[in-house]
Amino acid sequence: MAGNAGLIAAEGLCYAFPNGVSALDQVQLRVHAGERVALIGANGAGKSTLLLALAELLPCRGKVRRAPGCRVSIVFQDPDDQLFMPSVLDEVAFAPLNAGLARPEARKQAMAALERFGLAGLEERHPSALSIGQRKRLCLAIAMAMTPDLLLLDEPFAGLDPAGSRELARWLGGLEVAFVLATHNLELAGSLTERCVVLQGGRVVLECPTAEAIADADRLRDMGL
Amino acid sequence: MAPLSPLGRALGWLSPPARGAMGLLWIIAACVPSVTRPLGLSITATLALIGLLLAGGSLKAVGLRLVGVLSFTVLTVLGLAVLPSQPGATLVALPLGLAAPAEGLFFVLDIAVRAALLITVALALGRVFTAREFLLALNGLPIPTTPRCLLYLSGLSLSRVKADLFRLFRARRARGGVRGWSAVRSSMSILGVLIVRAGRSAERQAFALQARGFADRFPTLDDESPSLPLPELVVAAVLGGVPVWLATLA
Repeated sequence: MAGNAGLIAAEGLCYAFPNGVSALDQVQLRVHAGERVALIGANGAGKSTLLLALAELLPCRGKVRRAPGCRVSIVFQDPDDQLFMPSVLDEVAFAPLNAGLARPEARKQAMAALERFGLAGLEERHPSALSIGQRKRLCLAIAMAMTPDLLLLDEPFAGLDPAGSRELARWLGGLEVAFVLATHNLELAGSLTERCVVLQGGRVVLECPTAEAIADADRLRDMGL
Repeated sequence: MAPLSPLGRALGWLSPPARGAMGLLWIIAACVPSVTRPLGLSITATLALIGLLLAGGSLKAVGLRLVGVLSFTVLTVLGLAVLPSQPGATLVALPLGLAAPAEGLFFVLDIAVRAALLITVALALGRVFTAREFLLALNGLPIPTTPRCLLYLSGLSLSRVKADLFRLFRARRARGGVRGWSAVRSSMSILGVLIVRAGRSAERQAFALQARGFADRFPTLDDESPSLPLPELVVAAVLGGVPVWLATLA
């Protein structure tokens, strides 16, 4: 894909759970380089499923087209689902090592990612010994160590107190990559993203500038938000 | 995993793979004893208890885990006593005027004894390794890729299942708790919930592994030596092999 085609494009994505319930229904979505998109919707609207589909982790009908060489990283809602190495440093170095990077380079890359997200000094700690806020940042460091062009963030503020959410938002605000942010936090979505896509029952029901969507409280309420 | 214990520190000069090989032999030693070989059984039990205490483990932790083994043993022995035995089988007298075939009884007791020894040895080993050393040991041993990954992920999920279990039991207590038959039934429900949750968690972990380019290994930043140094291998073989031999004594 080039030019207007964007970094990643979902075309007619459909997915049904094994019990037959439809999770995604003809979803169209396009994200351009450097763009920040909020993915908004009530519980069960299909946000997480769409992110998994965009990361090509789910076998969906329809197509996900990526620009040549476009790397995608995903951060899951629950940090414990994606932390499985015995130390913080090994955790961040996991993807670079699996990508075939030599150990010294992987170490360098991992250290830089940890420093960037304020986790320097915690390299030897077990990930489960970190606070929830630190674990969320560790997941960000893990994703960024893969040097992605697009980051998919699944409810990164879930489980954080307001101060923790604001702090994480500050880290997200400093990222230079495009991201799709699935969240219920409309205030932070408004401050972090330019465009928003609203999902309802697995369908895209609204796509507009985030500020415009947030301003229309009645419409959001009608959508269960 | 627990921090390093005195036994862990004493064995600290052995590399994690060498300690891993020794641990594997200890596990084999726990599976060998039989009630028909009392000398081997008593030596292994003594060694397992000494190992546990040196590792800083507690007998209470073993006792708590033996509840399941004990229930299994009692129920199976009762089953043996109630069900009709083969004609001509040697019967062993049990309390309450019951009798069970000797062969079946020894078989059940062997399972119970080995389970108890395995629990004790596993608790001791858990204090000899840090989580990182456990992974280094697996990476350094000549284990095929799939079993190695399964062993690591199983070890990882154990602590999560345990945490889930405690939360579910706390929730049950918060709702007034249950006794008797209701407790058994609700425990079965809790087991079902645990299985479903473990399945979901495994699915999410699989997604995470895939997303991070998992390539059939859990590499660490430490160099993984292709082979164990011979002196370490000899020491590990002796420290692990002697208990296996002792366990076979009649």
